Amino acid sequence: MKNSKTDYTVSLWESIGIGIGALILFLVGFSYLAWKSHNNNFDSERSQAIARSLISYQIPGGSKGLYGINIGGGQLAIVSSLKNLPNTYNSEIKIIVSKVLITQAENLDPRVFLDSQLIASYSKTLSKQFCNRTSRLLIEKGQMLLSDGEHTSPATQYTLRNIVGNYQREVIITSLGKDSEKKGQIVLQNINCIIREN
Amino acid sequence: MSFRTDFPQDLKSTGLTDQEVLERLEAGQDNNTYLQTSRSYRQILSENLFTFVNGVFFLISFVMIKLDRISDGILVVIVIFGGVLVNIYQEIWAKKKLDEIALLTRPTATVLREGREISIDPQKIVLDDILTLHAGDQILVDGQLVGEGRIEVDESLLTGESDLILKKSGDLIYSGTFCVSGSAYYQAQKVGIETVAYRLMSSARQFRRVLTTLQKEINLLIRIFILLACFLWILVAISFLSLNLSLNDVVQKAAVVAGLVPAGLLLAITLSYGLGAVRMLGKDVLIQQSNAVESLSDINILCLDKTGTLTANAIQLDNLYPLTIPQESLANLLGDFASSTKNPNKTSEAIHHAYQAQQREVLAEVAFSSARKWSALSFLNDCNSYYLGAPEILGKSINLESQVSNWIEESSQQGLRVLLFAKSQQTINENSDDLPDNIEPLGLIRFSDQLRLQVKETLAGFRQAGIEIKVISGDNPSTVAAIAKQAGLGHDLKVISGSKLNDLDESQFHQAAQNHTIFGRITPEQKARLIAALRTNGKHVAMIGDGVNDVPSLKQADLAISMESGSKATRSVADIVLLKDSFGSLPHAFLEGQRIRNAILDVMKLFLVRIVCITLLIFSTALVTDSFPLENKQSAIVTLIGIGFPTMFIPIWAKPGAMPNKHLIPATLNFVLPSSLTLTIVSVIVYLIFLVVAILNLPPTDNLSSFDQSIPRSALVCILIVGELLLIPFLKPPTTAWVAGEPLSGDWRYTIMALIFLVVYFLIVSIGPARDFFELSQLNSVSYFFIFLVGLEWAWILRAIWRSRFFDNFLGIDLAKSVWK
Repeated sequence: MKNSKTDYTVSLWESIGIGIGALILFLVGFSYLAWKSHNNNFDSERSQAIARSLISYQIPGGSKGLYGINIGGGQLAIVSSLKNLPNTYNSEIKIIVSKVLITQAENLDPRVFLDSQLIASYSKTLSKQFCNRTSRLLIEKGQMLLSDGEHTSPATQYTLRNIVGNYQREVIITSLGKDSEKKGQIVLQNINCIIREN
Repeated sequence: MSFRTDFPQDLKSTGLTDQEVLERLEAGQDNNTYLQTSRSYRQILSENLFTFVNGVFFLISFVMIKLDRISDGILVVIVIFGGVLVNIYQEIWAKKKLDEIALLTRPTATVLREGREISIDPQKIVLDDILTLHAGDQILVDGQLVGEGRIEVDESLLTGESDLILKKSGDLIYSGTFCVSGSAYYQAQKVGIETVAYRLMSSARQFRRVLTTLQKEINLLIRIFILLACFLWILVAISFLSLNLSLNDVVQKAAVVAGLVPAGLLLAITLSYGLGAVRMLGKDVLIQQSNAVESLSDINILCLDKTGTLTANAIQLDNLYPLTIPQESLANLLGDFASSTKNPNKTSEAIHHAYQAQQREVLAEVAFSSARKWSALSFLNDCNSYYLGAPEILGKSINLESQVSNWIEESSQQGLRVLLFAKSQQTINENSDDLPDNIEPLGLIRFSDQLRLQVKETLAGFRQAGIEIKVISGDNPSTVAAIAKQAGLGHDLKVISGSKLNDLDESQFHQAAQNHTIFGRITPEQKARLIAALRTNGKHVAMIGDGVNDVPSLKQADLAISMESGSKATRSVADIVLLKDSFGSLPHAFLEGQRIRNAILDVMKLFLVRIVCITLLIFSTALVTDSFPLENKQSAIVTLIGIGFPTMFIPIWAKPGAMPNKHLIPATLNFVLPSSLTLTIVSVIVYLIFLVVAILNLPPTDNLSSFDQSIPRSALVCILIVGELLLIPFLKPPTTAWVAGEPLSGDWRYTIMALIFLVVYFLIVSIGPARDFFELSQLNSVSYFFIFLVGLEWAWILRAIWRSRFFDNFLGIDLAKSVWK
């Protein structure tokens, strides 16, 4: 009956078993969260819903959600036109919209979600009313390298940014193709800020 | 009612007239005082209701009801006051039983009034009443003997001395004592509250509640948790202002914090005590204080009175030593003597018990008296007179052989009493104390005090359990020592008398109390001082007594035990009354006490794990997620399913056995520390995983703070319940596979019970209304399975931690023994 310290010991195999068991459970838990998170982020409807909670927009020919994230520091969504160029992300029109806590703005820069850097041949800065505030609008034109790494396409990019409350709001509209400026202009004019109390 | 005309001449009256009685009644000079035979209802209620801990819980429930959380308030009231009610019921039951005993032993008084002897209730005695007294009568009021009668009085209940005191006209006699032989009249001089018996009994009923070590430590723990709760309540109050919480949120948090105070622990303890009292019912042990049985298992020293406690206040014939006639003839003559005497006493009863004979017609008789030290008898048709008395008196004129003298001497040294039986051809002079000249010795008779049944076995059992026995008596030290030897307390006993104790200073007195086993010629005050000295030395002292003289010492003791045949005052002050004077019941009570202690310890371990876990969770979740881990009802289901209900069965199934550590907190550390810390870590991980799940489940446009908190909280409830239930087989391992923190129990009932409560939990979460009541979300079956697997993995880790003595090595202490390495 006595449970002396020497009666029961922990063998090496038991320790290994405990370790493997814990690792499996950790991996299962972590993988589930990662999988669920991935599914959420790449869910078209969720992405569009996040985008629509931040701005109202219209893309000629319809739109689809590409990516959406709703985390502690803010929200970010990517939507695009239905008609895609041959490469996955290189839609004719793409809108990246974000609302990030000012303190988190550096950590969640929406530009990282751009397919590639625009090689601008022209740029100008204007003012535009956005979210009831006069906001800075950057217009850039040039060529954009497609994700295949070989081809380029003419592109126009509109970047609209302001600060409302504790949040930095940013909208990046990228338009590809021959009429990129015209199509981008239409989308830009239809964008309206949505501010919710919470 | 009877009539008498042979009143003593010097009484000059025939008792009080009816008019005189009326006058005294009107003047309030009667004996009409209400002497309680047990604790009052008021005393029982106040002792159980008005405690600090009860006050705190009452306040909590009051605040909850005021905040319109009536069900929470009522829950607290039920848990706390349910326990109090069980206590009160048990103690009232004991009181009624004692009152019944007192009623059965209630005496009547025979007074002389208007020239007649009438029997009345003792309360109707008035001042100056003349009362009759015969052998066996209890003296009911204080008074003075009048007339020519002579009696011998047993004052042992007052003084503790078993020697009989001869009383004659003019001598004072005291209420609470007994007339053993002779008959006389006495006049009531003090009645009612003036009597010695009343004064002693009223002091006996002063408030007395001694907490056991276990109770003191539990109270300490509860107070610590109350302090912790107060600290958290202050934080909750601050958060109300700083975080703009709703009043409902604040009340919820305050209620969860209130749950940290282990209210259910008190109920489990009450149940253990109650069960102990019920189990003792069939063992002739009456429990007056709910903690008495547990207290018995905690004692280091057991003090006993001699007369009436160790001995039955009766003597038995030990041996015959024939001198001039054969043993058989000696036995026959002694039998005749004892059977025929008109003045039986304890000595003649002992002879009669040993050698029963037919009653012969007595021609003349001289009754025994302590002053004369002999009695005599002559029979019809027998030319001899027979004498029975002390050898040093009867044998004055006899030249006894040295061998016989040695036998007498040795017997005296052993504390045995020797009488000489002799005959004379001279007739007896009933009016003279002088002995005839020609006494012929027939034989010697040796008497011993009659030990109570099972005294030897009981005391041996206590000594085996490491309990020191001390005998404290008003009798002669050598007599007490002799009895102690008979009772098996050994031969090398250290003896000290009251007079020697008087010469000692305080520190020497304490030393003497510690070092000696036998204390003789001790006054009631010295007895009480001795007990107090032993307690000051850190001992847990039990005192067994029967007489009024034992009351002060019983009140000093940690545990007071009285014989049923003892005085009312003693029974009143006792925590335990041994019904039928059943000394042999004590070992049962001792084992029951051990069982209670072990049960409480097990219950305590589970409660502590929960409290430490919840406390750490409150801080952890606040630190990691800025949220509160549980709602009030979720906390309630964790307590009820994981701890509350299972711990109700532990007192029922607990087994006796010595505790490795007498102190509660060290005894629980080895179990509580590893299990609570690891369970907290695992619970936080599970909580965080399901918190992320809840956030991921948020509708895309919702603010993060609006996630469904019931999901992580439900997961937390699940892992806490699984963890707590998995602790039960660790607490009572059914097989060696579960042996790690506690020794093998081999009892499967605990494990089966844990499984049943696990099923109950899953039933609750699968039944909508039950789930809604506890504000739980239904997780999917994969989630439950995952949490269950996490629980099993935690149990495996915990077993390895216990077995590898990880915490012992890390902290540098032996947690199982809680001593520094």
